[in-house]
Amino acid sequence: MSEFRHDIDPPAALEERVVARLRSRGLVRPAKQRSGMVVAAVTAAVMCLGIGYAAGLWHGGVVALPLDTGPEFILLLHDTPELAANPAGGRVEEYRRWAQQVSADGYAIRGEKLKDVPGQTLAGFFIVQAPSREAAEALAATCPHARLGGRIEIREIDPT
Amino acid sequence: MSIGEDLDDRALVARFLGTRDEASFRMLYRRYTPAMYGLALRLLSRRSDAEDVVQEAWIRATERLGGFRWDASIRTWLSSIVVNCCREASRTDWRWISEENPASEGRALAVPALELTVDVDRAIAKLPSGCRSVFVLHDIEGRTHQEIGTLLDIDPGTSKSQLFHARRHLRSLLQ
Repeated sequence: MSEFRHDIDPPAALEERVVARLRSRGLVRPAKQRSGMVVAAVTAAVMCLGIGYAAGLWHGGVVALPLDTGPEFILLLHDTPELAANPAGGRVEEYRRWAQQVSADGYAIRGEKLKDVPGQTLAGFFIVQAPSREAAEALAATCPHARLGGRIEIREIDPT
Repeated sequence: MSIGEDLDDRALVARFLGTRDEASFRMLYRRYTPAMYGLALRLLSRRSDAEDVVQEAWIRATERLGGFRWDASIRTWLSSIVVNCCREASRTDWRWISEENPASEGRALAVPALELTVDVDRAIAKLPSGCRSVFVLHDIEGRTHQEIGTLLDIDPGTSKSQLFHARRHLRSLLQ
């Protein structure tokens, strides 16, 4: 029966989940150590993002993401009727905590809220640096926007 | 296992322990996770449960790797961790073949089984979880009844009995 001991490839996204989990527990060091100044800048930008969103604007502050740490992906956050049932003010804290956790896990992230335009579903975005599309998809799946019923479109940024 | 392969494993583990860097861990992950995931999937049948077990197993492995003494292969050590995690994950659903419960109720194994093994894999998935574990560990993973007794916290005699029942039940399923 030992000939039936065949290995089974796990889902690609599982690797990123495992790595992120080990990073958050300090069992694995991130691929690229960022300086304390950059981490502080990203954290400050994320906090500004949360405060601005509470005021109805999403002034996230511009933080230049490191250019040499892999591809960047934009997570386009689309509103849906289901999401509209959740008041925006109640989501601020969740989005802010999520972005802080993503940053703590070793990913560079920034985001902006867009002004409402009648008939348009695009409400905001995050730009995140991730080692692969699968990693970006795994991150997007954990975003509160997805859990609250919103739709997230993922596009890789073409560096020019 | 060849000596060269064994040295590669030792060197990789030593490098990971020395640096704890992500690249070294990813090499470990990619080398051993297919076996870990395959084992978890056979023991639990549900993909989501198997993924959770793999994640938990790697957390425990990276916490304890510094104390690993190479008295067995690292693959065997990792599979022991997977078995323990599977036991904890299915603690409320651990069932054995007994005279009172000869008919098994199993969950469908939703895996992309190889064409030649699809019937056997499906039949194994139909075994009750307890004797399925004994069967997988003994006949597929090659563990002794003593080792299985330690892993599953059962008497080696119970392991032999469950293996007998599992093989008999599989024969009837595969006919």
